Amino acid sequence: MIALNAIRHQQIFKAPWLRQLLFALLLLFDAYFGAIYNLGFVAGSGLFSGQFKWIVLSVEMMASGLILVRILVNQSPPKWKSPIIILTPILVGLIAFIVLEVLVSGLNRSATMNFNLSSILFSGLYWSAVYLSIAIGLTLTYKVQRFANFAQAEMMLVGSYVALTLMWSDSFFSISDAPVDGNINWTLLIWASICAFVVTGFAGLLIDRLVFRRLRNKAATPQVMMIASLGVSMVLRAVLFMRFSASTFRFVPDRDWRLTTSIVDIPTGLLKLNLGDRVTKPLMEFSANVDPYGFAYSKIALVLGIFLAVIFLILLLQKTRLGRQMRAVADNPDLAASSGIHLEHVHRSTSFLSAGIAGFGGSLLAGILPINPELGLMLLLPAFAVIVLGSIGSIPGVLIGALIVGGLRAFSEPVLIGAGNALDRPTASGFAEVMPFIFLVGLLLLAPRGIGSAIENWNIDRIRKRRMKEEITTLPVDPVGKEFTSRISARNKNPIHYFELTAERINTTIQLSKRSTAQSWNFINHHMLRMAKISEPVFAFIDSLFSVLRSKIGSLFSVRRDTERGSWTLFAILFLVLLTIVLLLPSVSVLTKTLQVARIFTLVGIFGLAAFSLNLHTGITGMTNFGVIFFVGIGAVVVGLLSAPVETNGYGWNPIAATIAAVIIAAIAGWLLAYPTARLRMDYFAILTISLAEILRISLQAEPLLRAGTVTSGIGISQFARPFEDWWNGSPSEAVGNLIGLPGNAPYVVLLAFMAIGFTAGVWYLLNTILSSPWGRILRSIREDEAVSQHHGHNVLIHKAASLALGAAIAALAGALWAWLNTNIWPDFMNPVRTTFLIWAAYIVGGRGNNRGMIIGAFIIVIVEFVFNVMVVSRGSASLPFHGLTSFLDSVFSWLMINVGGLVWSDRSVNEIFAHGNVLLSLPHLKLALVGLVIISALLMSSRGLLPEVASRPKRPALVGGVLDGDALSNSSAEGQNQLQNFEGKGK
Amino acid sequence: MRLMNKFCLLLTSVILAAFALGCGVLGGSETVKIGLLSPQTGPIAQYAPGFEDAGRVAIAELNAEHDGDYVFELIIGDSGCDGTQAATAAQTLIDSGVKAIVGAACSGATLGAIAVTAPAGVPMISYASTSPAISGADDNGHLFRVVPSDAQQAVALAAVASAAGVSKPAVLYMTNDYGAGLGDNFASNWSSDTCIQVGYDPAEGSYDASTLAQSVIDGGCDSVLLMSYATDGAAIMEALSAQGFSGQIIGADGIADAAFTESFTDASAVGGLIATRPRPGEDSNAKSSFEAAYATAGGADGAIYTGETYDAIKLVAAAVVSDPDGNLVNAINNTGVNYAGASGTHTFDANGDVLGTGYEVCQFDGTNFSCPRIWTADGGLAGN
Repeated sequence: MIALNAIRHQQIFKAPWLRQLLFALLLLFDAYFGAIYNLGFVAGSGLFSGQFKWIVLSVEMMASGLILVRILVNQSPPKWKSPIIILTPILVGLIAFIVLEVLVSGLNRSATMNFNLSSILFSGLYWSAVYLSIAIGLTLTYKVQRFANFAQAEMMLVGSYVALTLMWSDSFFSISDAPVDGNINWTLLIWASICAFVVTGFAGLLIDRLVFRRLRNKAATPQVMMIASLGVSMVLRAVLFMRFSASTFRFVPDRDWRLTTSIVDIPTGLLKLNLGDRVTKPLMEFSANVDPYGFAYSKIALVLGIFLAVIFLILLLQKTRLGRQMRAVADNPDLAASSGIHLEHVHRSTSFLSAGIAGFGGSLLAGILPINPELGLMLLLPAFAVIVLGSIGSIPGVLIGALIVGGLRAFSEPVLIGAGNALDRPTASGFAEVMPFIFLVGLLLLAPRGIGSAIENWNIDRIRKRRMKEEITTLPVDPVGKEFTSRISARNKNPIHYFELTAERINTTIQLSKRSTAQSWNFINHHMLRMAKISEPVFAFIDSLFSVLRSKIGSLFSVRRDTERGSWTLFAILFLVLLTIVLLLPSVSVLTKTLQVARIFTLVGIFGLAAFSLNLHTGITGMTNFGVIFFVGIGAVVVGLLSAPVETNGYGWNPIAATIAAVIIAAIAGWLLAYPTARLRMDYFAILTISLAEILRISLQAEPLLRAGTVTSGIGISQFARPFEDWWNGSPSEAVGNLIGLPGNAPYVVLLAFMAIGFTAGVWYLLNTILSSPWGRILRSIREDEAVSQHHGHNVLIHKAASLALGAAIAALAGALWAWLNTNIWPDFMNPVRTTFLIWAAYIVGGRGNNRGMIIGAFIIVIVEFVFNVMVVSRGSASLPFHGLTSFLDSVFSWLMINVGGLVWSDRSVNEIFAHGNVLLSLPHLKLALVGLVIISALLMSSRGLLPEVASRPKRPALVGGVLDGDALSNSSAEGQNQLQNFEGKGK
Repeated sequence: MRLMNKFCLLLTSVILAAFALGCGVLGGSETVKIGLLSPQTGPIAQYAPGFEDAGRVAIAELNAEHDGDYVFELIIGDSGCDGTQAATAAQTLIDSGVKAIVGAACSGATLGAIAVTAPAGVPMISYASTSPAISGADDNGHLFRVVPSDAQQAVALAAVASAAGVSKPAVLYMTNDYGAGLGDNFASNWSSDTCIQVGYDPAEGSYDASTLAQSVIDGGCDSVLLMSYATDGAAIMEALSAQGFSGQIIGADGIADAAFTESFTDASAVGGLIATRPRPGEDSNAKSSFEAAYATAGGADGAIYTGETYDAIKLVAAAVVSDPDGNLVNAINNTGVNYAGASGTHTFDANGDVLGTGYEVCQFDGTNFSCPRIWTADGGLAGN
């Protein structure tokens, strides 16, 4: 007995995985009994009721399943580890089914899911191809140039629009416009895809030369490159919007392509899955007697084209000289350079190829979907999920990742429809869109390095083992003789002979395609080099322009920005300039001006707080957070839901209490996020956070519990109470109204502006205090080198978690302010493209690591919006400011479109977009382009932003040459700088 | 430092100069500025050209009508289909002196903007926000809309569906406020069970029409209720036709337009479609004359809610003309009584909502588009 206890205490419970196992089993049983018998902690305690109970139960069960899989992955013998990781998607899927079954039967309902096998298979292939068209280029750039290129989605769209422009050209329009005649015409499709490949490729080359090469030369970090690509994507998207408008267009290679009869009939079977009802219905029914599934020709073209492109790329990488060079640069650029590989040449080829393939995919995609410039964004995030699943940078991995994500997408649709209809959530099928992200989040928790690396490890393992075996068993034989004997024996056995022959043929085909790949690439490359040579003077000119500009601007800001005093001075100057612009903004009356100024200050407060949060996460702690809006969203949604009236699905809380709850919930979410993500690489963390934001956005659309404010539970949260509103509407608003000189009472937004200023100032002070404490230095040390600070005895995980929690709480406060300003919350406010990237722009332009910069950045972002709005509306009336400027811009744009562009494209391609040749410049998109340009040029001029981080260091004892402290440094001597650099070490 | 000051000075003077440049005074008749919030960026940007074209048609007609007395100007701001951006744009519109704002399209944008315009005393008429949240908005009477709430059309659709003799309809709807509202309301008004309900995001690249079509067929549904816009509706109908679905398809006002056939490469897929849309007034030819004017002006194809945009602008103008110096909110309330517009006859209730005069039930028979039947709240389905 004693011995048994000893064993139990000393051995079993010392192994953490056994404790985890016990915990998981406890959760599993609790959830199971809760669902079926209404017993256990969750169901029986009465803490949760109604729909919440069921949600908590399913989360509990899912969590237990995930922990079990995780134990399986961690505890499996090394031999089995990789295959198990590769199998995890299937395991996770199975767990999801079991959870659904228990849930549905617990609710005494039944769910029917119809799996049409061919439909799922081919729809899966279609989605894979769609995602791959962006993901291949993304992977290639990632592999060789080591950054995530956000502009890839826009490159794909460039290809689509090249196809459209070709279709509208005089020589091809007759093909596209020809009446239906029953014959499929390939001409336009083939030309369009070739042109799209070449044109987009050169566009990629140009962008690489203009932006990324400069950054490479400055040895910019991947993070900086990623943000620069964000700017590039904004500019490209804006240009596409201005040129092709927001309307959708279809690429019709020939009308016969798009007929509903232009399909291939594929025989299929219907698998019916009945969940929840174990008495009257069988679990599975299969019927092969169903109509065939029709797969459209245009989709076949896309699937074939994209998969061939991937094979081409794999061949190129494996078999050609350039491919070897690319892999060498990917592995170790310095070593590659020293062994004589021309790095720039490789980068050039990479950018041409990655853009070109995306453009090629875009031209094929345009034949299926109506194209508009927003399309790229819809596909970019899933494409990121694909490359993360496939372990960023691995081409076979990305292929498998795309197949998994595409298959999952197609497979989840019937599951969600069946489950949604059974659980009173018909909108549940909206979640199909974010299934890749949900899956990704789950999988990263299990296999933090993605599936691709597991496959690679597995392969390496296999090969190593085979080699070892071969070394032991095979004696050296004459290879020719061996082959000869095997052939002889093969002839005697017919089937084997057949296989041999086939294998030989395949081999020859591969050899041939290898050769042709190499040759065609050489051809393209030759011309690319010539083009590069010819255009070199132009680039040299642009380069010199840039350097002149930089030196001019540098002399303007002759304040030493990296000292405390200089930073404050510049902050004050910039702030005053911005304030002047606010005062100069036109308005018609005191009331409207009051509303305007109050709105600007509230927005600056919101964006400033969000930027503080981003700065804490990314600028100080070094975790690239693309999910600021996730925490902001939590804040807004919790505040809105809790303080909405009870009769309209809310909870009727006091807004102050709701805000406190929101801040606490966001902080807990931030803290919890640290545990699974602490081990993730920078880019994985970025993708994970952006995925969370996307999941929350879709939940706002699809989950009825996240709706309040209308009796019929329409989408959105509205009608919630705002803090101090009743108090304000009493005497204070009147008093303030009199004070400002308003005709009536002051509107509530004035109070909100004061609250925003108060919150921002308070958080700023708090952050400054915290960050100048030792804890701030620990966070910075984690940013500089995680391993070293771990080595110094800091618990990195706890510090990261605390940083995430604090930042999340600040972001939630911004969310609360936002909800009050808008008076309602709709899913679109979480649009990652808009909000997240604007906050990022503020962060980059303002200056990383410096909270003063965050305020300036936020202020600039808000002011840009207002100034541009003045321009946007000015077109309507000659009496408005900027009217002359906009007419001038319109005429320039019109000249560019008709006279300059007319050299390239046909008049039809202009008239299709601008009715009656009335060419107008889309000003909102000009704003987008300028924001993008500001980001790019801010990074190119000084990648540290307007107000760079001020290195704070303790006062140091006197040196030999004199006193070296902060003040002495500001009138620094070269010697002092050197000392400083030595002091800072490798960090910078 | 000195350079910095110079820089400030330069910046200030540039801005001042720009303002001075833009300032000009229009003499003669009284100028009335009407704001339009259009979703030029964001998820439904593709429909913005249609709204703006319809607005320009209205302004051109108004200026021809009131030549000499009034000059109407349309000031267009970008709502971005987003509350924050729409509110900022509304602020700029107010700052440029608009009398009223027509917009916005997305319900979230409308609710965001009203938080700015109501305190400023500028009324707003939405032309496309169908969310029930609009009715209850805290707007101090400033918010109107010329589109009926979805609830009523759902009743009409249920009546049309049972008249068509369908028994197991699949409900396919967009997961935005328009589609989800209509779909939910249809399901609750439909007497028997629906076959399946499927929501999808109408943004291109986020749904696969053939999967949606397949799920309808696999569910064994005999008909489809389609709450969609034109582009996605066309894609889904083409996919249904390609997968061999032959049941009845019933749509709502998103696709009930003769121009809907233009969204198809193969117009045969549209044959047999029944769709409901708000009914124009009894003796009003406003609809046909607007459609003619819109076509002449070269308005954007595949547009939605153009008639509503046109009506909202004309209604504002009529209200301004009826009482130039009085309270515009009251004037709109007075004008908006049995107002015969292109998109129906509008009468505002206390919430600023229109009840509408029922719906007409239209059908496509391959080549022709006609609306022989009507549905009213009192009389139900009538006509042949």
